[in-house]
Amino acid sequence: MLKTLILKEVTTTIFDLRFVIATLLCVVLIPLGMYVSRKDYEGRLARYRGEHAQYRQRHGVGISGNVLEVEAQGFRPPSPLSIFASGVDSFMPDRVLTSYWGLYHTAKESRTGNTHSLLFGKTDFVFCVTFIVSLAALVLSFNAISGERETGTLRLMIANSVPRGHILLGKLVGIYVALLIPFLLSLTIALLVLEASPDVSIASPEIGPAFLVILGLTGLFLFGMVTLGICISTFARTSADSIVLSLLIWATLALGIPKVSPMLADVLYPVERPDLVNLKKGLVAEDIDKELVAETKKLRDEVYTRHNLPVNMASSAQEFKKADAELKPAFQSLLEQYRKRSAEALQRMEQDYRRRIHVRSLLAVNLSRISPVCSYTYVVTALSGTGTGEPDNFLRNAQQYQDAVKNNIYGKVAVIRTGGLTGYLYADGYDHRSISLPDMAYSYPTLTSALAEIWPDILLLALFCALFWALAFVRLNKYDVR
Amino acid sequence: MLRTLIVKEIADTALGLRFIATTLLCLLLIPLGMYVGREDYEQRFASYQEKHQAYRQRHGTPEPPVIGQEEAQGFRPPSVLSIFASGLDPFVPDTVITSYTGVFRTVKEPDIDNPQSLLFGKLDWLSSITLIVSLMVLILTYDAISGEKERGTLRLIIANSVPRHRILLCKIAGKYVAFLVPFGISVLIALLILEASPLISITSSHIGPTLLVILGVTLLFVLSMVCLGVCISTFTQHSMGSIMLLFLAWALFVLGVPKACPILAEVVHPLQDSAGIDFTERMVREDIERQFEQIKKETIDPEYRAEWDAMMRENRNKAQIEARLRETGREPTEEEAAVLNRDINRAQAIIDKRNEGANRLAGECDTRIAEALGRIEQDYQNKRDAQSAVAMNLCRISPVSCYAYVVSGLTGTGVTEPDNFFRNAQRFQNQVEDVFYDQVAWRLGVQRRAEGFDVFDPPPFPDMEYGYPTLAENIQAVWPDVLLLGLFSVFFGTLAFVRFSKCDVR
Amino acid sequence: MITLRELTKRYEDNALALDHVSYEVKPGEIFCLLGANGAGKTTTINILLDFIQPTSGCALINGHDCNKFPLEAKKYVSYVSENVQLYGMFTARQNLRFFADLSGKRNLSDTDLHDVMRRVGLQERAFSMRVKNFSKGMRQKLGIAIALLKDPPAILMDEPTSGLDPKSGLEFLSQLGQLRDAGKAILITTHDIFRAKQIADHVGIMKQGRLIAIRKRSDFKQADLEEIYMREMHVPQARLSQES
Repeated sequence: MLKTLILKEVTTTIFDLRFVIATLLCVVLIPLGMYVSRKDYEGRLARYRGEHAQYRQRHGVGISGNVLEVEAQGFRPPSPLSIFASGVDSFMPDRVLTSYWGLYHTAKESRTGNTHSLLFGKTDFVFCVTFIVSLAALVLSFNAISGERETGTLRLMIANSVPRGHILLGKLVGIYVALLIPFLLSLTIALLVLEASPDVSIASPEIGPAFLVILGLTGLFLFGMVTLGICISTFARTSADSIVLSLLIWATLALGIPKVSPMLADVLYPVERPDLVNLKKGLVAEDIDKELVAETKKLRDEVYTRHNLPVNMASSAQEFKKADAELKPAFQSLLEQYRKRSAEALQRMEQDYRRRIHVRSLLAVNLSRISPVCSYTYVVTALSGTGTGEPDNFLRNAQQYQDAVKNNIYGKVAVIRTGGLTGYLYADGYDHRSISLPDMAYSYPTLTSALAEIWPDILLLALFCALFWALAFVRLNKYDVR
Repeated sequence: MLRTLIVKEIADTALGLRFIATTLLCLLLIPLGMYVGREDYEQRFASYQEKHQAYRQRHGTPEPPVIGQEEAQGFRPPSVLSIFASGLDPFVPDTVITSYTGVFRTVKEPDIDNPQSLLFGKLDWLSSITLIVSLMVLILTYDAISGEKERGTLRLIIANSVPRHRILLCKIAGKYVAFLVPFGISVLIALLILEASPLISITSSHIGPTLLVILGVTLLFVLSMVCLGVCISTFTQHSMGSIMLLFLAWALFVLGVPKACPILAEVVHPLQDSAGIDFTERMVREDIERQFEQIKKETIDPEYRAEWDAMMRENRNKAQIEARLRETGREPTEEEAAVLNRDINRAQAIIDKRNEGANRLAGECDTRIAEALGRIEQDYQNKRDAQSAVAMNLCRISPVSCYAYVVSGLTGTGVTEPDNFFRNAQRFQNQVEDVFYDQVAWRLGVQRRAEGFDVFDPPPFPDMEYGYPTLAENIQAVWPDVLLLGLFSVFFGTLAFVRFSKCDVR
Repeated sequence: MITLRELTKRYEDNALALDHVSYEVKPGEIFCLLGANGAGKTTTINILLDFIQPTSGCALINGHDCNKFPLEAKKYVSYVSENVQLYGMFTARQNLRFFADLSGKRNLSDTDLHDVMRRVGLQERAFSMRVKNFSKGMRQKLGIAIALLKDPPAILMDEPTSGLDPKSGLEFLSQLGQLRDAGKAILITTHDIFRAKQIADHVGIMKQGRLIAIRKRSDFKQADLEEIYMREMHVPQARLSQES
């Protein structure tokens, strides 16, 4: 009997005008979106490679010029999975510039591309699923129960001693299968479009497994949407009421909650803007630096005066060398002291800021998890390396890079500034001609670590399915079938 | 009779479940979006002011001694109207850094500390209207005609001698007025929220008029959506059919067309990647500089060295003669006297000559670079304009895109803002060049200094005065889209009328 | 008052809905149109109300052509439709007032509206009740009230008794009688032979678009109308001339 019900459901759905419209929209928009994402990725990859190569060419081996001004550049490669979910990618900086003073900064190439695309937003895979396919799911299922009631067939089914649970299950499976047809069709076309790219291969280890997981989770999400539609139809007596309810709920879940929850979190727990924080950090660093310069000068003046040397001169004569030798350890300890102080102060400010950001972020995420659309988006973007955890990942990589450069270069040179003169103290073995700037080894989270991060949202998606099913079941048992 | 029908329409709409839902959504989302936008603007403005002040204090005047390669900074202030449409604002750079090379660079501070907001997008006025309001209006109107047909009341109305066009007109008018009530209230609340900010005064001369225009265009957009909804309802016999059509129409107009058409424009007019352009420009510049270096090495430097050597030889000669004279104690011969008396200290003259030559070369080099880069930029710009024009015209199929263009154009966050930014940046660069770079420069190893310019007491850098286009200019740019919005209303209304006149009311 | 002359309607798929139908309903007369489903009864009414256009022939109300000058013709007719849901969120009174306004009768007081609703047999408590809570019979009565309020010389009714219980049916019949006595011309389409027999002055039997028989009251008062109906329905077309 279940098989009959499911078969009936699949056939009635396929022969409906809605199915045709849904198929049309999917088949047009999903491959188109994939094509654009692919082209975008290829462009970004080319840009990354080009910049990297150029940079290596200019700064190959050897460091020229003032080590104070040496800025090593680390480039962030685009993640191939970002084709599926652009997420926060278009806002991420694309390079890290280290600095002698420990305060790296980030930069983003600022020439704007296709302005119209920027105005209207992207059509990546996640967009298509959360907007088009989920809407299609609701449109196909919104009058599952109420429609049958209107046409009188619900009475007939129940009069034939069919348990209500079976009716529900039949509807669920039937409509889900019917939905998967246009979805998988358009996905196949889209994957062919993707495979045609020279830079991307779906079977590769960096895309393949993650893509399978994304596909599975998309299936789970769509199942939840179909269940939601059926659930809504048990709450209404007529098709007209059902559709209005469905559209309203969809608008709330897909548009309302995702956009409102970060706003709400910001209202409830405001945090200052990052450029303000960076400014403050810069000012603090500059101030500490000024102090250092003053102290250095004082020390030097004192020692030189003791050696009866003129304070405003530097020379390699015998007397000067003796004074300089005495100063060297003192300078180094002073530098260490101030460096530590600067690092600590900046660290404190950074940690404080990060802590506040995290609280707000947690608030936003938890507020938004009311909507399965948000959970799904979090899941897919996290797997693609473009999710809400990517900024932290970037900063981790940036800090690692800064530390690497510090260990290899900055740490080997102590710069003594006394206001008018600048001197350098080189560590042993440091040869500025043979040393080269290190590359940034940017790492995205692995599949397993991403899954470990997002399991709450995966669980939520499953729970949504269960919740909507339970609700529908309870309602249907009390539903007036006449 | 007109009044009766309209009043019935308003009452019928207002008594439904959909209307309550619409009211709730409008009252909730529009003021909330405005509030958050206001907070965000206040923060952006505060940080702009702080940045500007800190810059003025610490780097506003170049540190003496000046070498001519210092960089001045200009900051782009946030526009109040960007609260209404964030548009391209997150993608436009916020700082200009001038350069002695003539090519300024722009910096956009990445703001990735609220990733949820970036992930889902903001709910500014533009998004609220194009996403939520359009859907609400369509939900309210999709069964205007088909619903009455199903209920049988359409027959009753037509059985009284009411002409069909009047029925249609009253439907549109009634639904429009019914929707405007909750919408108007939410807008009023939102505007009050805006006014409550100490930084913003909506009656001020740079916000007030634009705001009125935005409101007017929004009313026009809502009208076009009402007409679309009523039009949809004339195409189908049952509400179910209308719903499908509604779904399709909304998905196409709001999601499909605006996103797909720029893609199509890119396919039709592909552009070279912007980083590629930068790369090309850098290569070209280095090429030209290398060329001129070569020229200098081949012409000026050897000449200079030759003259210098000649001078040194003469000096040595003179010293030799003097030594000989001292040794022997005799008087110089006529020849020797001539040599002794000749003014051989022309070091300064030789140096000056070399400098002049180098300067001339530097000037030529600059001009050549400017020409070449200018050509590349112009070419890229032309291609980009062509692509933009195609994208815009394709997008205009949808009233939603037209509305987006109008509002983002009026708020200074539209598709032309990046160009506006670059114009301002270029102007700033030119200003700094006039005041500073032209006065003192370091070129090809030589420093040239203008008259009266003291490298130990340089003047402060000028401030960048960022100008947004005026309202008149904006209106001139967006009037086609405003016209199109009006035409959409007429088109949908006419289509509805044609369908309705022939439709079967039984 | 209500005149049909050689009225013919052929649809796009060549189906012949009406085949040269002619008759007249004079003032003070009730004409019942009987026939099976799809015989053309509703099509007749649809043409009279200009919902559809005839292929040939004409329909007149009070001398005005219904399809050439529909707005004029409709001033003289009111319509009771089958199965009308009306405006569910409005009360009976509000629905009534709306349609009264449309028909030109503004400035009616609540008392006038109540009178009409009482006349058709609606209970008092229903006046302020929302129509979506009405039973089918109540909605039918309200539909009739709407038609009565307009007070036109001609009334068209499409299956008016299809949802009424016997008591309401009787009340309805007596009202029809009063209207007839007041000089109205009434055209009713129905399946209900029993009621038709009770009230009609003329009965027209339609089959496949043709008016195959018209019987006066005197004819079927003695004979059983049902018998006539069934007999006529089985009579082949060729014998029409003999019978009439």
